[in-house]
Amino acid sequence: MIQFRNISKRYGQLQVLKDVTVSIEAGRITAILGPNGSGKTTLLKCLLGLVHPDAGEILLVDHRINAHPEYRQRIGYMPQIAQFPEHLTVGEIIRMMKDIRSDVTHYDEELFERFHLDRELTKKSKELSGGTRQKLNAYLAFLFQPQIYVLDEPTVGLDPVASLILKEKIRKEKQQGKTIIFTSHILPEIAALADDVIFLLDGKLLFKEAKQVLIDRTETKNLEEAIAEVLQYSGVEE
Amino acid sequence: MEVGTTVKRWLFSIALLIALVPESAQATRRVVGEEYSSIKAAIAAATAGDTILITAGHYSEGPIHVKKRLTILGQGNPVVDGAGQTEVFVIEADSVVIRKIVVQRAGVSFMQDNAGIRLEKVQHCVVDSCILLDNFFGIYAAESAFCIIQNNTLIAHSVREAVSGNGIHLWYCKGMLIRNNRIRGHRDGIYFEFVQSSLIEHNLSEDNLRYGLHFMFSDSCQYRWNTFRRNGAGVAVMYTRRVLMERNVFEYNWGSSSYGLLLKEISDSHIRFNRFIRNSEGIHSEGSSRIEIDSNLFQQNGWAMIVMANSEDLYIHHNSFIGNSFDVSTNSRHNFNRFAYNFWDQYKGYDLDRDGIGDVPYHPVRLFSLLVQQNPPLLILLRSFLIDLLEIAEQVFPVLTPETLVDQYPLLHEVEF
Amino acid sequence: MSNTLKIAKYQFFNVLRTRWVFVVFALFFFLTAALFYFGESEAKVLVSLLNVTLIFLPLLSVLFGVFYVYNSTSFIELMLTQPIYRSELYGGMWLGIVTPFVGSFVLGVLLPFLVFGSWMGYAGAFGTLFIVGTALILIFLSLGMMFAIFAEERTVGMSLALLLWLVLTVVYDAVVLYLATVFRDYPLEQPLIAAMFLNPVDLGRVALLLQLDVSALMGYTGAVFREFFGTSLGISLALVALLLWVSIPVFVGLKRFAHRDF
Repeated sequence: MIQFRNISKRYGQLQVLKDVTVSIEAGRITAILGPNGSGKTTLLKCLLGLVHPDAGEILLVDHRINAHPEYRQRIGYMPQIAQFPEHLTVGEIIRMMKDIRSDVTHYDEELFERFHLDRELTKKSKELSGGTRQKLNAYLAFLFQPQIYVLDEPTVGLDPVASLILKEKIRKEKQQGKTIIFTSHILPEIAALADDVIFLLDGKLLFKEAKQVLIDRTETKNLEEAIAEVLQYSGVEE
Repeated sequence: MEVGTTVKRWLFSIALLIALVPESAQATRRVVGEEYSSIKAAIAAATAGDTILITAGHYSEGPIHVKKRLTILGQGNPVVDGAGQTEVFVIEADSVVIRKIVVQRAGVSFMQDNAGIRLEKVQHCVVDSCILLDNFFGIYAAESAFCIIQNNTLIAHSVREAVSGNGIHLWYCKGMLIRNNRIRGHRDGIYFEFVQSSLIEHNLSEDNLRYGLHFMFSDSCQYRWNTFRRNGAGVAVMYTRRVLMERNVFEYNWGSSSYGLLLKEISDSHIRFNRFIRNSEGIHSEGSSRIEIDSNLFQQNGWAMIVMANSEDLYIHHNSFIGNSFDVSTNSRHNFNRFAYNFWDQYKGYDLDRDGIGDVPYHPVRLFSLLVQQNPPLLILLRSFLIDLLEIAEQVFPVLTPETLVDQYPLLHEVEF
Repeated sequence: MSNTLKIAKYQFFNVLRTRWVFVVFALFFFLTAALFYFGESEAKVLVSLLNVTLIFLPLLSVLFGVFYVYNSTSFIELMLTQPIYRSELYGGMWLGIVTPFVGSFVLGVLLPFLVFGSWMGYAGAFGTLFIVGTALILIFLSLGMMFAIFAEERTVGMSLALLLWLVLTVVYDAVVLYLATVFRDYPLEQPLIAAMFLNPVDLGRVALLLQLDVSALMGYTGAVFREFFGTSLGISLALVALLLWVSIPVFVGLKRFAHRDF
C-alpha cells in the first residue's frame, strides 16, 4: 500500500531519518514505535507532505507522491496535538473541514455521536478542554472515510472511555479493509491493536515485523518482552 | 487712526468737488456714431463741459488725447481699439469723466508704457465702469491726484513678465481712490509707486503674473476688503510707512518665493482682520519695524509667518493659526518681536485656571522649519515620526530655535472677528 | 468557491473576533470621533490620523502578522494534510487576515467622519488616507507573516518584526536626514524622491503631505516634489511601488511557505 524508499531527512546538524526503506501493507494496522526523537513523526509527516525528504521516494499504491495534493484525499490524519482557529466554534470548524473536502459527500459521523460532540458545537475552540479537542481531532480524521488513517499518538490526552471508543473504532475500520498507521509509546496499546510493528531508532529502521512473528521469534510471552529482548540484543538500553 | 482720517479727508474733498461742478449752461451732448464719425472729431468740436456720447461700434482710433474737461460716456459697449499699436485714451485735463467704454489692445512697447487709459498730471478725474481688455497697461496714472478709478474690469492674458504691463498703475499720485475693480492676467494687478494718502478697497486682483498688489514708497495709504488670489508672487508692500491693511483676503498664492503678503522695510503700520489662506507663505517680513499684526486668520499656509531677524518691534497678537504646515519661522536665534494672545491650533498645553489662556507658553518656531530653511529639499521629511521625536528633544533642550520667540499667553480658542 | 476563498472565509471570521481587530477599529473610531466631537477641523483630524496611520497601524499589523502565523502553526499542519495546495492555504490565510484589518480601519475612520465631518474639500485627503492606510496594513501584515514563516523561533520573528518597524518609521528617515545634511551642496530632490519610494511608510506620508501640506510643498523646492508626485506618472509610480511592497513579501513568504517543513 505504502512504500517508503530510502528516505533521508536532516534538520541542520541533526539526521532525523537515515535511509529508511519500509512498506506498509493494506488492510493492516501498523504501529510505528521508537524512543523520542527516533523519527516516527517525521516519517509520517513525509507521507503527509508536511516534510520534504532530502532523498528517497514514497509510493502510495504504486504511485509516487509529489506536490499535487490529490493523494491526500485518501488519508485521514490525526495529529498529536491539534489547535484550531481560536475564535471559531466547533460547529464552524466542522463546517470548514467539510467545505474544504467538497470531494466527499458521505461522512462518517460515528465518533461525533459517541464522543457527544453535539454538546460542544457552539463552544469556541479556545474554550475546549484538551480532551475534547482531541476528540474533535479524532472525529475529523475519520470524518471523510479515507482508505488510510495516520494517527500520531492517538490516545494521548483522551480519557479512558474515549480512548476505548477510539480503539474500537480503529479495529472496526480495519475490518472494513482500511489501512491504519499509528505511532505510540504505550506498548500494551500497540500489543492490543497492531498487526505489524515498525521500530525506528535514531532515524534508522531497526526492524519491521508482524507482531506475532516478533513474539514467536524472540520466544517471549508478549510484545513488551519481545521488544525488550530486541532492544537488548541491539545494544540499546532505555 | 492717523492714516484713516487723512484719507477720509481727501475723499470728502473729492466728493464735494464732483458735486459742486456745475453743468455748464452751454453744455452740449455730442454723439459719436451719429453726428460724428470719430471720437477724435467729436472731441475736437467739443468745448469744456460737453459730454461725448459714444454709441455701440468699433472705433480703431490711435491715441485719443483729451485736453478739455469732458465727460466721455459709452452707450451699448462701444469698443475703442488701440490695435496693438498705440495708446488709447490719454487724459490731460482735470475733471474728465470716462465711463462704460470698452478699451482694448493698447500696444506693447519697450519705449513707453502704453495704457488703455492714461491719466497724465490731472486732478479730479473719474474712470468708471470701463472694461479694459488685453492692454499693455490698463489704467495708468502719473503725477495725478484726487482721482477715482472704480468698477472697472481689467483682463489681460500676459504670459511673460518682460512684455506685460500692470493693471492699475499709479506713479507719483496722491489722494486716489481705487475701488471695486476686477483685475486679472496682468503683470502686477495694482501697482503703487510714490503714491500718498490713497485708498484701495473692494478690489479683486487675481491670476496676475507677478504681484496682486505691488506697493512701494507709498506712505499713509490703506487698503481693505480686497481679495488677492493666485498671483505669481502674492502681494508685496515695500519701503513704506503708515500703511493700514485690513479685511483683505490673501489666498492661493503658491510657489517658491510666493507670499500672501511680503513686508519689506515697512514701518509704523497696522495689519488686521485679514485672512491668509493657502499661501506658500502667509506673511514674510524682512527689515520691518513697529507693525501691529492682530486679529488675522492664518489657515493652511505652508508657513503662516516668516519673520526674518532684521524685523523688530512687530507685535503679533490675537491672530488665529490653523492648519498651517509651519506656524512661524525665522533665520536666527535672536528675536526682537513680541507674540502674545494668539490662537495656535498646534498648541498642546492646558488651562487649569480656565481663563482661556494656556498655562504654558507656546514656541511657534519648530526645529524642522529651521532645518528646511537651511536645506529646502528636507521638506519631504515633513510630518515624519523622526521629526516629531527631534521636535520633542528640541523642546526639552533648545539648541537651534529662538527661545525668546514665544507666545506667553496662547489662547485656547480661535479668535472670532 | 475555490479553496482559497473557503479558507479565507473561516479565517476572516476567526480574525474578526480577535481583540486586535477590535483595537484597530476602536483606536480609529474613538480617536476620529473624539477629535470631531471636540470641534477639530477636518484638516486637524487628518493630521492626527496621519500619525496614527503611519506609526501604529504598521506596528499593529506587523506584530499581528507574526503572532497569528505562530499561533496557527498546528492548524496549518492540519490543513496541509488535507488535499489542498499550500498556496491555497497561504492565500486564504492572507486574505482572511487582511480583510478584517482593512475593514476595521476604514470603518473606524469612515463612521465618525460620516456623522461629524464634511466631504467638502476633503474627499481627496480622506481617500488618500484610506489608500495609504490600506496599503500599510497589507504591507506590514504580509511582512509579519513572512517573518513568521522564515523564523521558526517565535522570539526571532517578533524581534525581526519590531526591528523592521523601527527601521521603516524612524531609522530610515534618520539616515535620509543625515545623508541629506552631509550632501546638502548637491541637488537632492531626485535622490530624495527615490529614497521615499524605497520605504512604504515614507511613500504613504508623502502621499498625505500632498493633500495636507500642499501650500508648503508649493513653496521652496517643494514644488519639485509636488510636480513629480502630482502628475499621473508620479501617482502611478507611487501606486506601483506600494503594490510591489505588498507583493514582494507575499511572494517571498509564499515561496518559503511552499517549501518549508512543518
